[in-house]
Amino acid sequence: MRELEVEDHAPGQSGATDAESLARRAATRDEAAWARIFDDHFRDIYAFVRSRLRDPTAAEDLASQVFEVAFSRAETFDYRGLPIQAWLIGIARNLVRDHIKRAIRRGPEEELVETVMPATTGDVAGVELRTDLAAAMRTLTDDQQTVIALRFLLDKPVSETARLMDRSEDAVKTLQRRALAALHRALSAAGYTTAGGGGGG
Amino acid sequence: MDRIDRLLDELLETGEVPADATPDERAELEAMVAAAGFVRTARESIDLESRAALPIARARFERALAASRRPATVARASAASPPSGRPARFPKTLGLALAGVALVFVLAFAANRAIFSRVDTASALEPGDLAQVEGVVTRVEPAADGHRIHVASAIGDVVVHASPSTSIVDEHDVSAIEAVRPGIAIVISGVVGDDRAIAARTLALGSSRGELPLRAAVQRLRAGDAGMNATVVSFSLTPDGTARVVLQSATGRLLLAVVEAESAARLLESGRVLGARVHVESASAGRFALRLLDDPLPTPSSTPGPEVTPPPGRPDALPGGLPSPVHISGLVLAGEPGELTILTIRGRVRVEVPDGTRVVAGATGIDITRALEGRPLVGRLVVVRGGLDAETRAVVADILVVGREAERPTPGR
Repeated sequence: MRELEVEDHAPGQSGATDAESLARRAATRDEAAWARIFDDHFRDIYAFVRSRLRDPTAAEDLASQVFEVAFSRAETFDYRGLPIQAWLIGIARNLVRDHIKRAIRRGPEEELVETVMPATTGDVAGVELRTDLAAAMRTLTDDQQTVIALRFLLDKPVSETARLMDRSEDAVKTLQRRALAALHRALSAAGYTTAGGGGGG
Repeated sequence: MDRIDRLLDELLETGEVPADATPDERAELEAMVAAAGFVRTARESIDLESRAALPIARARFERALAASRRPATVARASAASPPSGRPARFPKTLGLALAGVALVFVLAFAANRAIFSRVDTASALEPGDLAQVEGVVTRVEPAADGHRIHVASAIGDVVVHASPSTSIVDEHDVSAIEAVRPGIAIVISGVVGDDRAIAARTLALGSSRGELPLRAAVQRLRAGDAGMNATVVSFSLTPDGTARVVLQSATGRLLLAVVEAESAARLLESGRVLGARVHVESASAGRFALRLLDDPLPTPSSTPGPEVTPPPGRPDALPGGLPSPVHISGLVLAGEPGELTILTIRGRVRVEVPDGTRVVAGATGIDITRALEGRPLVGRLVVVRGGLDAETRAVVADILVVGREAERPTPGR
């Protein structure tokens, strides 16, 4: 196996160097690099896409497409401080937008298809929450949905969210407050009591 | 940035409503944080979905990579074929193209196995292991028998059950469950259950916010990987005395190694476990040996301590701010079932050895059941990792490593 030897281990620098090295290899379509990128990021990309779509099959399809599109454009990726995940999320945002536009063009029936996974979760309350949460999320603007997904689904800190969304940290803080307020209103309208606890429904 | 933005940011950072929030602001903040809680709740089921989707998605991506490697001659044939989903205009050309593509797929599949065979995901936590994992607390919620703590670690999200008997320590002394807050760095030591949640025996808290670790799928270390240097990310003692160790390579990959018992004991004895830099060596039967690259922490075999009782608090020296279970090593002066008195560098320390303590006897030949009686350990060097008893401040052992017999050091130097 090709492994770099650890000599003078400086976590911060070495992390950046590793990421840069991986990005450079990815840009040359090094398949081992892409295998690692896929394994490192699929889960987050799926979660990001899934937060925007009700259909898990469509989410799986789109999450896979993100990597295929990224691979096909590998040589265009410019690693200069831009994390690979930011690039992947940018592609995911575009694919999701296109998917939603197509779904809207196809008509309301397409949008109304509901395929949550009761068999997997085995938790009816959880499924209802997910369904209502998805509906509540759809009342938010595109940017609001993105900030919610990055901050609370992917647990990204404000600084990274700002980088990923190409905004200032203050702008992200304002956006997250507005997004959470809007989400709270939508969930309240759906009958959820959101004051004082996040787990119930 | 508005005042409410600042208050919300502070609340999300600390998990507590800022003291200067007015009652109206507090209500608004709590509502917003509750909405965020709904989103976080959904993440668990989304994670289940993504795990189920991963194999198919990976296979699809493999096919995309394989397709990208088609030779030029075949690529031309493919390019000449109509887009998928449309009927072929020239069946003869299509037949040739399909044959070529099929051949390329076979070759590509064979080549791809070499790449993706290393992406052999493995579970770092197996039921029955005593695991030590480092991470960052993301959520704490009350449960019937204590608290459920969600921890983001490099090996994935870990659910931890903390009961009233769980020992909680910070860098100085005993701590309490109230100190376990989202954002704080933590080391968990406990037994993995059938649901792969960890029943915590000890929780060690850091003094500052932790950084969310980079995540990656854990792959199984292979014999060909021997010779690499890596860092220990998680350490689990299995019931048979071997260890399941997740190593992070220089390139950030996470690799699971089953480590022979002797190496596991040496790592524990060194005092450096999580975060230790090791050199991986091949051993027998698919197991690996680890050689420590860092200097071990000092032991009393070289620096005997005085026979005094250390002041209240942790009897071990700690690197600043990082979470770490209590770690002591020394000479057993006295032993009885459930309790040992150990002479350490800093003095005489009382150690509780409750049921469930994992004993690593290594090559000493000591019977583990007898070791737990205490007396057979008198005169031996031992290493203890664990927590502190909230009332007595005695060290509570999670792991007890039995070493060689030693001459009793001269007291009171």
